[in-house]
Amino acid sequence: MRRDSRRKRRSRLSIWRRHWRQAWSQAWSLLWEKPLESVLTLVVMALAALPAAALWLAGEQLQDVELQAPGDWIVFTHADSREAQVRELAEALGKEAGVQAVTVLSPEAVLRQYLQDSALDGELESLAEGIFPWVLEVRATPGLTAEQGAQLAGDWQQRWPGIIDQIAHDPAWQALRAHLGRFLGRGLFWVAFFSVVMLFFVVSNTAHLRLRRHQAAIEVMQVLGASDAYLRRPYLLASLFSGLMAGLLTVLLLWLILLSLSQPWHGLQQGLGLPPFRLYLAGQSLWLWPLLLAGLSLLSARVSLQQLRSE
Amino acid sequence: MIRLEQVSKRYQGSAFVLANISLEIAAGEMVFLTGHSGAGKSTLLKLIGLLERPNGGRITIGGLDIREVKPRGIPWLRQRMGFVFQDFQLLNDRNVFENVALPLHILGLDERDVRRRVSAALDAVGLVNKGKALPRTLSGGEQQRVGIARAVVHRPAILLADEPTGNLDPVLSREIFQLFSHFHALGTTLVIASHDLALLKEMNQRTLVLEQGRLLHAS
Ligand SMILES: Nc1ncnc2c1ncn2[C@@H]1O[C@H](COP(=O)(O)OP(=O)(O)OP(=O)(O)O)[C@@H](O)[C@H]1O
Ligand SMILES: [Mg+2]
Repeated sequence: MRRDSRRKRRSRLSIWRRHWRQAWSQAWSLLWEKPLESVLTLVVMALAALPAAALWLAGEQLQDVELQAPGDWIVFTHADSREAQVRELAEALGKEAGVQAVTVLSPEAVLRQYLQDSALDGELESLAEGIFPWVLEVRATPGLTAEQGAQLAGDWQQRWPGIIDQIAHDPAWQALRAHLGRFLGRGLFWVAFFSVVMLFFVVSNTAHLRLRRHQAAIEVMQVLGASDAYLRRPYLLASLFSGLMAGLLTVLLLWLILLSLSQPWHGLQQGLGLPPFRLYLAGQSLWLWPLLLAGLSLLSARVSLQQLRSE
Repeated sequence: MIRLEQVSKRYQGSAFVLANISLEIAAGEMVFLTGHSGAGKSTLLKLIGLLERPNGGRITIGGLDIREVKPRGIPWLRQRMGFVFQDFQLLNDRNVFENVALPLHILGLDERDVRRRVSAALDAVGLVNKGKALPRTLSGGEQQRVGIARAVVHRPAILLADEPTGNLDPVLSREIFQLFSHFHALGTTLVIASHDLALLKEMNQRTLVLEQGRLLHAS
Protein backbone atom coordinates (compact mmCIF):
# COMPACT_ATOMS: atom_id res chain seq x y z
CA MET A 1 0.00 0.00 0.00
CA ARG A 2 2.60 2.50 1.11
CA ARG A 3 4.90 1.67 -1.73
CA ASP A 4 1.99 2.16 -4.08
CA SER A 5 1.22 5.64 -2.82
CA ARG A 6 4.88 6.53 -2.88
CA ARG A 7 5.13 5.44 -6.48
CA LYS A 8 2.07 7.49 -7.29
CA ARG A 9 3.57 10.54 -5.61
CA ARG A 10 6.83 10.06 -7.47
CA SER A 11 5.04 9.76 -10.78
CA ARG A 12 3.05 12.90 -10.06
CA LEU A 13 6.31 14.71 -9.39
CA SER A 14 7.81 13.50 -12.64
CA ILE A 15 4.67 14.54 -14.54
CA TRP A 16 5.01 17.95 -12.97
CA ARG A 17 8.66 18.11 -13.96
CA ARG A 18 7.90 17.07 -17.55
CA HIS A 19 5.15 19.67 -17.78
CA TRP A 20 7.57 22.36 -16.67
CA ARG A 21 10.21 21.21 -19.14
CA GLN A 22 7.64 21.34 -21.93
CA ALA A 23 6.54 24.79 -20.80
CA TRP A 24 10.11 26.12 -20.87
CA SER A 25 10.78 24.81 -24.33
CA GLN A 26 7.46 26.21 -25.56
CA ALA A 27 8.21 29.55 -23.91
CA TRP A 28 11.56 29.56 -25.65
CA SER A 29 9.96 28.98 -29.04
CA LEU A 30 7.40 31.71 -28.26
CA LEU A 31 10.27 34.12 -27.66
CA TRP A 32 12.01 33.15 -30.88
CA GLU A 33 9.07 32.83 -33.26
CA LYS A 34 9.07 36.63 -33.73
CA PRO A 35 12.50 37.76 -32.53
CA LEU A 36 11.94 41.38 -33.52
CA GLU A 37 8.70 41.56 -31.53
CA SER A 38 10.42 40.04 -28.50
CA VAL A 39 13.38 42.39 -28.69
CA LEU A 40 11.14 45.41 -29.18
CA THR A 41 9.08 44.41 -26.16
CA LEU A 42 12.23 44.07 -24.13
CA VAL A 43 13.57 47.47 -25.16
CA VAL A 44 10.29 49.28 -24.51
CA MET A 45 10.04 47.60 -21.11
CA ALA A 46 13.57 48.72 -20.26
CA LEU A 47 12.86 52.28 -21.41
CA ALA A 48 9.68 52.34 -19.34
CA ALA A 49 11.58 51.23 -16.27
CA LEU A 50 14.63 53.43 -16.77
CA PRO A 51 13.28 56.73 -15.30
CA ALA A 52 12.02 54.96 -12.20
CA ALA A 53 15.31 53.15 -11.76
CA ALA A 54 17.25 56.40 -12.21
CA LEU A 55 15.13 58.18 -9.63
CA TRP A 56 15.54 55.25 -7.29
CA LEU A 57 19.28 55.48 -7.62
CA ALA A 58 19.15 59.26 -7.10
CA GLY A 59 17.33 58.63 -3.83
CA GLU A 60 20.08 56.30 -2.73
CA GLN A 61 22.75 58.83 -3.66
CA LEU A 62 20.84 61.42 -1.66
CA GLN A 63 21.10 59.20 1.37
CA ASP A 64 24.81 59.30 0.78
CA VAL A 65 24.65 63.08 0.80
CA GLU A 66 22.75 62.92 4.05
CA LEU A 67 25.30 60.68 5.63
CA GLN A 68 27.92 63.31 4.87
CA ALA A 69 25.87 66.06 6.46
CA PRO A 70 26.44 67.03 10.10
CA GLY A 71 23.81 66.07 12.63
CA ASP A 72 20.44 67.70 12.72
CA TRP A 73 21.18 68.64 16.31
CA ILE A 74 24.64 69.53 17.59
CA VAL A 75 24.68 68.99 21.35
CA PHE A 76 27.42 70.94 23.18
CA THR A 77 28.17 69.62 26.64
CA HIS A 78 29.52 71.70 29.50
CA ALA A 79 33.26 72.18 29.37
CA ASP A 80 33.76 70.18 32.56
CA SER A 81 31.76 67.10 31.45
CA ARG A 82 33.58 63.81 31.68
CA GLU A 83 33.74 61.28 28.89
CA ALA A 84 31.74 58.61 30.75
CA GLN A 85 28.91 61.07 31.35
CA VAL A 86 28.90 62.10 27.71
CA ARG A 87 28.81 58.51 26.47
CA GLU A 88 25.94 57.80 28.82
CA LEU A 89 24.06 60.78 27.41
CA ALA A 90 24.80 59.61 23.88
CA GLU A 91 23.32 56.23 24.68
CA ALA A 92 20.23 57.79 26.24
CA LEU A 93 19.70 60.10 23.28
CA GLY A 94 20.13 57.20 20.89
CA LYS A 95 17.05 55.59 22.43
CA GLU A 96 14.92 58.74 22.08
CA ALA A 97 12.05 58.80 19.60
CA GLY A 98 12.98 60.78 16.50
CA VAL A 99 16.68 59.99 16.79
CA GLN A 100 18.35 57.87 14.16
CA ALA A 101 21.99 58.01 15.19
CA VAL A 102 24.33 59.72 17.63
CA THR A 103 28.01 60.41 16.99
CA VAL A 104 30.31 61.34 19.85
CA LEU A 105 33.07 63.85 19.09
CA SER A 106 35.91 64.28 21.56
CA PRO A 107 37.31 67.79 22.15
CA GLU A 108 40.30 66.84 19.99
CA ALA A 109 38.04 65.75 17.15
CA VAL A 110 36.04 68.94 17.44
CA LEU A 111 39.23 70.93 17.38
CA ARG A 112 40.46 69.12 14.32
CA GLN A 113 37.20 69.75 12.54
CA TYR A 114 37.22 73.38 13.55
CA LEU A 115 40.73 73.85 12.25
CA GLN A 116 39.82 72.14 9.04
CA ASP A 117 36.68 74.20 8.54
CA SER A 118 38.37 77.50 9.32
CA ALA A 119 41.46 76.54 7.33
CA LEU A 120 43.70 77.70 10.16
CA ASP A 121 47.29 76.76 10.23
CA GLY A 122 48.62 74.07 12.48
CA GLU A 123 50.53 76.79 14.26
CA LEU A 124 47.39 78.06 15.86
CA GLU A 125 46.57 74.64 17.17
CA SER A 126 47.98 75.26 20.57
CA LEU A 127 46.03 78.46 20.84
CA ALA A 128 42.70 76.72 20.40
CA GLU A 129 43.54 73.78 22.60
CA GLY A 130 41.40 73.34 25.67
CA ILE A 131 38.52 75.54 24.61
CA PHE A 132 36.30 72.83 23.06
CA PRO A 133 33.91 70.53 24.97
CA TRP A 134 32.66 67.08 24.09
CA VAL A 135 30.09 67.34 21.30
CA LEU A 136 27.31 65.00 20.14
CA GLU A 137 26.08 65.00 16.57
CA VAL A 138 22.54 63.69 16.60
CA ARG A 139 20.79 62.70 13.38
CA ALA A 140 16.98 62.77 13.18
CA THR A 141 14.91 59.98 11.70
CA PRO A 142 13.71 60.92 8.20
CA GLY A 143 10.38 62.70 8.09
CA LEU A 144 10.77 64.55 11.39
CA THR A 145 9.55 68.11 10.94
CA ALA A 146 11.59 71.15 11.93
CA GLU A 147 9.08 72.06 14.66
CA GLN A 148 9.29 68.62 16.20
CA GLY A 149 13.06 68.91 16.06
CA ALA A 150 13.05 72.20 17.98
CA GLN A 151 10.66 70.81 20.55
CA LEU A 152 12.82 67.77 21.17
CA ALA A 153 15.90 69.95 21.61
CA GLY A 154 14.13 72.01 24.28
CA ASP A 155 12.95 68.86 25.96
CA TRP A 156 16.44 67.35 26.19
CA GLN A 157 17.91 70.53 27.50
CA GLN A 158 15.42 70.46 30.36
CA ARG A 159 16.05 66.80 31.15
CA TRP A 160 19.85 66.88 31.21
CA PRO A 161 20.73 70.41 32.35
CA GLY A 162 23.83 69.11 34.17
CA ILE A 163 25.52 67.93 30.99
CA ILE A 164 23.95 69.76 28.07
CA ASP A 165 25.18 73.28 27.69
CA GLN A 166 23.32 74.12 24.53
CA ILE A 167 21.86 72.51 21.43
CA ALA A 168 22.39 73.94 18.00
CA HIS A 169 19.50 73.02 15.82
CA ASP A 170 19.32 73.98 12.17
CA PRO A 171 15.63 73.86 11.22
CA ALA A 172 16.32 75.12 7.71
CA TRP A 173 18.49 72.16 6.85
CA GLN A 174 16.07 69.74 8.39
CA ALA A 175 13.09 71.22 6.60
CA LEU A 176 14.97 71.18 3.33
CA ARG A 177 15.82 67.57 3.87
CA ALA A 178 12.23 66.65 4.64
CA HIS A 179 10.96 68.50 1.56
CA LEU A 180 13.57 66.91 -0.63
CA GLY A 181 12.70 63.50 0.70
CA ARG A 182 9.03 64.05 0.06
CA PHE A 183 9.69 65.50 -3.37
CA LEU A 184 11.76 62.51 -4.39
CA GLY A 185 9.30 60.11 -2.84
CA ARG A 186 6.34 61.55 -4.72
CA GLY A 187 8.34 61.92 -7.89
CA LEU A 188 9.34 58.32 -7.66
CA PHE A 189 5.75 57.34 -7.03
CA TRP A 190 4.46 59.04 -10.18
CA VAL A 191 7.29 57.91 -12.38
CA ALA A 192 6.94 54.37 -11.07
CA PHE A 193 3.18 54.54 -11.57
CA PHE A 194 3.52 55.44 -15.25
CA SER A 195 6.28 52.90 -15.68
CA VAL A 196 4.02 50.18 -14.34
CA VAL A 197 1.12 51.27 -16.56
CA MET A 198 3.35 51.29 -19.61
CA LEU A 199 4.87 47.97 -18.66
CA PHE A 200 1.45 46.46 -18.27
CA PHE A 201 0.36 47.60 -21.74
CA VAL A 202 3.51 46.37 -23.42
CA VAL A 203 3.52 43.00 -21.69
CA SER A 204 -0.17 42.31 -22.10
CA ASN A 205 -0.10 43.43 -25.73
CA THR A 206 2.71 41.02 -26.53
CA ALA A 207 1.05 38.20 -24.61
CA HIS A 208 -2.18 38.89 -26.54
CA LEU A 209 -0.45 38.85 -29.91
CA ARG A 210 1.18 35.54 -29.06
CA LEU A 211 -2.06 34.09 -27.79
CA ARG A 212 -3.90 35.24 -30.91
CA ARG A 213 -1.33 33.57 -33.15
CA HIS A 214 -1.86 30.27 -31.33
CA GLN A 215 -5.61 30.54 -30.81
CA ALA A 216 -6.46 27.54 -32.99
CA ALA A 217 -3.81 25.36 -31.40
CA ILE A 218 -4.98 26.35 -27.93
CA GLU A 219 -8.55 25.37 -28.73
CA VAL A 220 -7.41 21.97 -30.00
CA MET A 221 -5.26 21.44 -26.91
CA GLN A 222 -8.23 22.32 -24.70
CA VAL A 223 -10.25 19.64 -26.43
CA LEU A 224 -7.42 17.17 -25.84
CA GLY A 225 -7.66 17.88 -22.12
CA ALA A 226 -5.06 20.58 -21.53
CA SER A 227 -5.86 22.60 -18.43
CA ASP A 228 -5.83 26.39 -18.47
CA ALA A 229 -2.78 26.43 -16.21
CA TYR A 230 -0.95 24.12 -18.62
CA LEU A 231 -1.82 26.30 -21.61
CA ARG A 232 -0.98 29.53 -19.84
CA ARG A 233 2.38 28.45 -18.47
CA PRO A 234 4.54 29.00 -21.61
CA TYR A 235 3.12 32.52 -22.04
CA LEU A 236 3.78 33.35 -18.40
CA LEU A 237 7.30 31.99 -18.58
CA ALA A 238 8.01 33.94 -21.76
CA SER A 239 6.83 37.13 -20.01
CA LEU A 240 8.86 36.32 -16.91
CA PHE A 241 11.95 35.84 -19.00
CA SER A 242 11.47 39.09 -20.96
CA GLY A 243 10.94 40.92 -17.68
CA LEU A 244 14.20 39.57 -16.33
CA MET A 245 16.06 40.53 -19.50
CA ALA A 246 14.43 43.97 -19.58
CA GLY A 247 15.53 44.51 -15.96
CA LEU A 248 19.11 43.59 -16.79
CA LEU A 249 18.98 45.90 -19.77
CA THR A 250 17.70 48.70 -17.53
CA VAL A 251 20.59 48.27 -15.11
CA LEU A 252 23.08 48.11 -17.95
CA LEU A 253 21.72 51.29 -19.56
CA LEU A 254 21.71 53.08 -16.23
CA TRP A 255 25.26 52.04 -15.57
CA LEU A 256 26.38 53.36 -18.95
CA ILE A 257 24.58 56.65 -18.36
CA LEU A 258 26.10 57.04 -14.92
CA LEU A 259 29.53 56.20 -16.27
CA SER A 260 29.24 59.00 -18.80
CA LEU A 261 28.01 61.40 -16.08
CA SER A 262 30.65 60.59 -13.50
CA GLN A 263 33.42 62.56 -15.23
CA PRO A 264 31.66 65.96 -15.32
CA TRP A 265 30.32 65.39 -11.81
CA HIS A 266 33.84 64.90 -10.58
CA GLY A 267 34.70 68.37 -11.88
CA LEU A 268 31.63 69.90 -10.30
CA GLN A 269 32.29 68.16 -7.03
CA GLN A 270 35.72 69.71 -6.64
CA GLY A 271 34.55 73.19 -7.54
CA LEU A 272 31.37 73.26 -5.52
CA GLY A 273 32.24 71.02 -2.62
CA LEU A 274 29.60 68.45 -3.52
CA PRO A 275 29.77 64.93 -2.18
CA PRO A 276 31.61 62.46 -4.38
CA PHE A 277 29.61 60.66 -6.99
CA ARG A 278 30.05 57.01 -6.45
CA LEU A 279 29.48 54.68 -9.32
CA TYR A 280 28.80 51.58 -7.40
CA LEU A 281 26.02 49.25 -8.32
CA ALA A 282 27.17 46.06 -6.72
CA GLY A 283 25.37 45.45 -3.46
CA GLN A 284 22.82 48.08 -4.40
CA SER A 285 19.11 47.48 -4.37
CA LEU A 286 19.27 48.33 -8.07
CA TRP A 287 20.14 44.72 -8.68
CA LEU A 288 16.67 43.89 -7.49
CA TRP A 289 15.43 45.66 -10.59
CA PRO A 290 15.49 42.62 -12.91
CA LEU A 291 13.55 40.63 -10.30
CA LEU A 292 11.07 43.45 -9.84
CA LEU A 293 10.53 43.77 -13.58
CA ALA A 294 10.22 40.01 -13.98
CA GLY A 295 7.58 39.97 -11.25
CA LEU A 296 5.65 42.86 -12.74
CA SER A 297 5.81 41.32 -16.17
CA LEU A 298 4.57 37.98 -14.87
CA LEU A 299 1.72 39.69 -13.09
CA SER A 300 0.71 41.71 -16.16
CA ALA A 301 0.75 38.61 -18.34
CA ARG A 302 -1.28 36.73 -15.76
CA VAL A 303 -3.90 39.47 -15.69
CA SER A 304 -4.07 39.73 -19.46
CA LEU A 305 -4.32 35.95 -19.90
CA GLN A 306 -7.33 35.82 -17.63
CA GLN A 307 -9.53 35.45 -20.71
CA LEU A 308 -7.95 32.10 -21.51
CA ARG A 309 -10.68 30.00 -20.02
CA SER A 310 -12.48 26.95 -21.21
CA GLU A 311 -15.92 28.41 -21.79
CA MET B 1 -21.31 5.26 -19.13
CA ILE B 2 -23.00 7.97 -21.16
CA ARG B 3 -26.52 9.06 -20.37
CA LEU B 4 -28.57 11.86 -21.91
CA GLU B 5 -31.92 12.92 -20.46
CA GLN B 6 -34.17 15.33 -22.36
CA VAL B 7 -31.17 17.10 -23.81
CA SER B 8 -31.70 19.99 -26.18
CA LYS B 9 -29.27 22.29 -27.90
CA ARG B 10 -29.53 25.48 -29.91
CA TYR B 11 -26.67 27.56 -31.17
CA GLN B 12 -26.78 31.26 -30.63
CA GLY B 13 -29.36 32.78 -32.97
CA SER B 14 -30.54 29.50 -34.47
CA ALA B 15 -33.48 27.17 -33.93
CA PHE B 16 -33.09 24.01 -31.85
CA VAL B 17 -30.54 21.68 -33.43
CA LEU B 18 -31.30 18.89 -30.98
CA ALA B 19 -34.60 18.50 -29.14
CA ASN B 20 -35.35 16.23 -26.19
CA ILE B 21 -32.72 13.62 -26.84
CA SER B 22 -32.68 10.80 -24.31
CA LEU B 23 -30.31 7.89 -24.68
CA GLU B 24 -28.05 5.66 -22.71
CA ILE B 25 -24.80 4.04 -23.78
CA ALA B 26 -23.36 1.34 -21.58
CA ALA B 27 -19.67 1.07 -20.75
CA GLY B 28 -17.83 -0.85 -23.43
CA GLU B 29 -20.60 -0.44 -25.96
CA MET B 30 -20.04 0.50 -29.57
CA VAL B 31 -22.77 2.73 -30.95
CA PHE B 32 -23.18 4.27 -34.37
CA LEU B 33 -24.87 7.53 -35.07
CA THR B 34 -26.32 8.26 -38.48
CA GLY B 35 -28.68 10.67 -40.20
CA HIS B 36 -28.80 13.24 -42.96
CA SER B 37 -26.41 16.12 -43.21
CA GLY B 38 -27.41 18.79 -40.71
CA ALA B 39 -29.37 16.34 -38.56
CA GLY B 40 -27.20 17.17 -35.56
CA LYS B 41 -24.73 14.27 -35.37
CA SER B 42 -21.69 16.45 -34.83
CA THR B 43 -23.58 18.51 -32.28
CA LEU B 44 -24.56 15.43 -30.30
CA LEU B 45 -20.96 14.20 -30.24
CA LYS B 46 -19.75 17.64 -29.17
CA LEU B 47 -22.22 17.62 -26.29
CA ILE B 48 -20.94 14.25 -25.12
CA GLY B 49 -17.33 15.38 -25.61
CA LEU B 50 -17.94 18.51 -23.49
CA LEU B 51 -17.11 20.72 -26.45
CA GLU B 52 -20.56 22.29 -26.32
CA ARG B 53 -22.95 22.87 -23.44
CA PRO B 54 -26.59 21.78 -23.66
CA ASN B 55 -29.35 24.38 -23.29
CA GLY B 56 -31.55 21.96 -21.44
CA GLY B 57 -31.58 18.48 -20.00
CA ARG B 58 -28.94 16.47 -18.22
CA ILE B 59 -25.81 14.72 -19.47
CA THR B 60 -24.09 12.18 -17.25
CA ILE B 61 -20.71 10.70 -18.09
CA GLY B 62 -19.32 7.91 -15.97
CA GLY B 63 -21.87 8.82 -13.32
CA LEU B 64 -20.84 12.50 -13.27
CA ASP B 65 -23.47 15.09 -14.04
CA ILE B 66 -21.48 17.46 -16.23
CA ARG B 67 -23.33 20.49 -14.89
CA GLU B 68 -21.80 19.71 -11.53
CA VAL B 69 -18.28 19.23 -12.82
CA LYS B 70 -16.09 22.13 -11.72
CA PRO B 71 -14.17 23.96 -14.47
CA ARG B 72 -11.00 22.24 -13.31
CA GLY B 73 -12.61 18.85 -13.76
CA ILE B 74 -13.35 19.35 -17.44
CA PRO B 75 -9.75 18.85 -18.62
CA TRP B 76 -9.64 15.75 -16.42
CA LEU B 77 -12.71 14.32 -18.18
CA ARG B 78 -11.44 15.28 -21.62
CA GLN B 79 -8.17 13.47 -20.95
CA ARG B 80 -10.23 10.31 -20.64
CA MET B 81 -11.89 10.76 -24.01
CA GLY B 82 -10.67 10.70 -27.58
CA PHE B 83 -12.26 12.83 -30.25
CA VAL B 84 -11.95 12.36 -34.01
CA PHE B 85 -13.01 15.59 -35.69
CA GLN B 86 -14.89 15.75 -38.93
CA ASP B 87 -12.42 18.47 -39.99
CA PHE B 88 -9.34 16.80 -38.43
CA GLN B 89 -8.22 19.82 -36.33
CA LEU B 90 -4.53 19.04 -36.67
CA LEU B 91 -1.91 21.61 -35.69
CA ASN B 92 -0.18 22.75 -38.85
CA ASP B 93 2.99 24.01 -37.21
CA ARG B 94 3.84 20.56 -35.87
CA ASN B 95 4.61 17.38 -37.70
CA VAL B 96 2.48 14.25 -37.61
CA PHE B 97 4.43 12.67 -34.76
CA GLU B 98 4.08 15.76 -32.58
CA ASN B 99 0.39 16.03 -33.35
CA VAL B 100 -0.24 12.47 -32.27
CA ALA B 101 1.98 12.96 -29.20
CA LEU B 102 -0.09 15.93 -27.94
CA PRO B 103 -2.46 13.99 -25.65
CA LEU B 104 0.49 12.11 -24.15
CA HIS B 105 2.44 15.31 -23.51
CA ILE B 106 -0.63 16.77 -21.85
CA LEU B 107 -0.75 13.69 -19.63
CA GLY B 108 2.95 14.20 -18.86
CA LEU B 109 4.19 10.81 -20.03
CA ASP B 110 7.91 10.30 -20.24
CA GLU B 111 9.53 10.67 -23.62
CA ARG B 112 10.28 6.98 -24.15
CA ASP B 113 6.65 5.99 -23.54
CA VAL B 114 5.53 8.80 -25.82
CA ARG B 115 7.72 7.55 -28.66
CA ARG B 116 6.62 3.98 -28.19
CA ARG B 117 2.90 4.76 -28.05
CA VAL B 118 2.93 7.25 -30.93
CA SER B 119 4.75 4.74 -33.12
CA ALA B 120 2.22 2.08 -32.22
CA ALA B 121 -0.70 4.42 -33.00
CA LEU B 122 0.80 5.51 -36.32
CA ASP B 123 1.44 1.89 -37.14
CA ALA B 124 -2.19 1.04 -36.44
CA VAL B 125 -3.41 3.65 -38.94
CA GLY B 126 -0.73 2.80 -41.49
CA LEU B 127 1.28 6.02 -41.26
CA VAL B 128 4.53 4.81 -39.72
CA ASN B 129 6.66 6.55 -42.35
CA LYS B 130 4.86 9.88 -42.19
CA GLY B 131 5.91 10.90 -38.68
CA LYS B 132 8.05 13.79 -39.87
CA ALA B 133 5.56 15.13 -42.43
CA LEU B 134 3.55 18.27 -41.81
CA PRO B 135 -0.21 17.66 -41.80
CA ARG B 136 -0.67 20.15 -44.65
CA THR B 137 1.37 17.97 -46.96
CA LEU B 138 -0.84 14.92 -46.43
CA SER B 139 -3.92 13.82 -48.34
CA GLY B 140 -7.35 14.15 -46.74
CA GLY B 141 -7.44 10.46 -45.91
CA GLU B 142 -3.99 10.56 -44.35
CA GLN B 143 -4.91 13.58 -42.24
CA GLN B 144 -8.03 11.73 -41.15
CA ARG B 145 -5.90 8.81 -39.98
CA VAL B 146 -3.56 11.14 -38.09
CA GLY B 147 -6.66 12.48 -36.31
CA ILE B 148 -7.69 8.92 -35.45
CA ALA B 149 -4.21 8.07 -34.16
CA ARG B 150 -4.27 11.19 -31.98
CA ALA B 151 -7.70 10.22 -30.61
CA VAL B 152 -6.64 6.73 -29.57
CA VAL B 153 -3.00 7.17 -28.60
CA HIS B 154 -3.75 7.79 -24.91
CA ARG B 155 -6.15 4.79 -24.75
CA PRO B 156 -9.22 6.78 -23.76
CA ALA B 157 -12.17 5.16 -22.01
CA ILE B 158 -14.54 6.85 -24.44
CA LEU B 159 -13.85 7.37 -28.12
CA LEU B 160 -16.02 9.81 -30.04
CA ALA B 161 -15.55 9.82 -33.80
CA ASP B 162 -17.21 12.26 -36.17
CA GLU B 163 -17.26 10.76 -39.69
CA PRO B 164 -13.91 9.05 -39.19
CA THR B 165 -14.06 7.45 -42.64
CA GLY B 166 -15.55 10.40 -44.51
CA ASN B 167 -12.38 10.84 -46.57
CA LEU B 168 -11.30 7.23 -46.89
CA ASP B 169 -11.73 4.70 -49.66
CA PRO B 170 -13.79 1.58 -48.88
CA VAL B 171 -10.77 -0.61 -48.14
CA LEU B 172 -9.27 1.88 -45.71
CA SER B 173 -12.69 2.53 -44.18
CA ARG B 174 -13.07 -1.11 -43.40
CA GLU B 175 -9.58 -1.20 -41.85
CA ILE B 176 -10.39 1.77 -39.66
CA PHE B 177 -13.62 0.18 -38.53
CA GLN B 178 -11.72 -2.96 -37.72
CA LEU B 179 -9.41 -0.82 -35.62
CA PHE B 180 -12.46 0.52 -33.79
CA SER B 181 -13.69 -3.04 -33.27
CA HIS B 182 -10.33 -3.81 -31.76
CA PHE B 183 -10.74 -0.97 -29.25
CA HIS B 184 -14.28 -2.16 -28.62
CA ALA B 185 -12.89 -5.58 -27.79
CA LEU B 186 -10.48 -3.92 -25.34
CA GLY B 187 -13.44 -2.38 -23.50
CA THR B 188 -13.48 1.15 -24.91
CA THR B 189 -16.87 2.85 -25.21
CA LEU B 190 -17.27 4.14 -28.77
CA VAL B 191 -19.74 6.54 -30.37
CA ILE B 192 -19.18 6.89 -34.09
CA ALA B 193 -21.06 9.16 -36.46
CA SER B 194 -21.12 7.83 -40.00
CA HIS B 195 -22.94 8.04 -43.32
CA ASP B 196 -21.65 4.73 -44.53
CA LEU B 197 -24.81 2.66 -44.21
CA ALA B 198 -23.36 -0.42 -45.87
CA LEU B 199 -20.46 -0.51 -43.46
CA LEU B 200 -22.77 0.08 -40.49
CA LYS B 201 -24.83 -2.87 -41.51
CA GLU B 202 -21.72 -4.96 -41.77
CA MET B 203 -20.60 -3.97 -38.27
CA ASN B 204 -23.92 -5.07 -36.84
CA GLN B 205 -23.98 -2.81 -33.77
CA ARG B 206 -26.58 -0.54 -32.21
CA THR B 207 -27.30 2.38 -34.53
CA LEU B 208 -28.97 5.63 -33.54
CA VAL B 209 -30.71 7.60 -36.27
CA LEU B 210 -31.04 11.35 -35.98
CA GLU B 211 -33.50 13.28 -38.09
CA GLN B 212 -33.79 17.03 -37.76
CA GLY B 213 -32.61 17.00 -34.22
CA ARG B 214 -34.75 14.10 -33.02
CA LEU B 215 -33.78 10.54 -32.24
CA LEU B 216 -35.78 8.32 -34.57
CA HIS B 217 -35.22 4.81 -33.38
CA ALA B 218 -32.56 2.57 -32.08
CA SER B 219 -31.86 -0.65 -33.89
N1 LIG C 1 -21.40 26.49 -34.37
C1 LIG C 1 -22.63 26.53 -34.93
N2 LIG C 1 -23.33 27.66 -34.92
C2 LIG C 1 -24.57 27.71 -35.46
N3 LIG C 1 -25.16 26.67 -36.01
C3 LIG C 1 -24.51 25.50 -36.06
C4 LIG C 1 -23.20 25.37 -35.51
N4 LIG C 1 -22.80 24.08 -35.67
C5 LIG C 1 -23.81 23.46 -36.30
N5 LIG C 1 -24.83 24.29 -36.54
C6 LIG C 1 -26.10 23.94 -37.15
O1 LIG C 1 -26.63 22.84 -36.47
C7 LIG C 1 -27.21 21.94 -37.36
C8 LIG C 1 -26.68 20.57 -37.10
O2 LIG C 1 -25.29 20.59 -37.40
P1 LIG C 1 -24.36 19.33 -37.21
O3 LIG C 1 -22.97 19.75 -37.60
O4 LIG C 1 -24.57 18.78 -35.88
O5 LIG C 1 -24.96 18.34 -38.31
P2 LIG C 1 -24.41 16.94 -38.81
O6 LIG C 1 -25.45 15.96 -38.58
O7 LIG C 1 -23.07 16.67 -38.19
O8 LIG C 1 -24.20 17.20 -40.36
P3 LIG C 1 -23.08 16.61 -41.34
O9 LIG C 1 -23.46 15.22 -41.67
O10 LIG C 1 -23.15 17.51 -42.55
O11 LIG C 1 -21.78 16.74 -40.64
C9 LIG C 1 -26.94 22.47 -38.75
O12 LIG C 1 -28.14 23.05 -39.23
C10 LIG C 1 -25.89 23.50 -38.56
O13 LIG C 1 -26.12 24.57 -39.44
MG1 LIG D 1 -21.16 16.58 -38.79
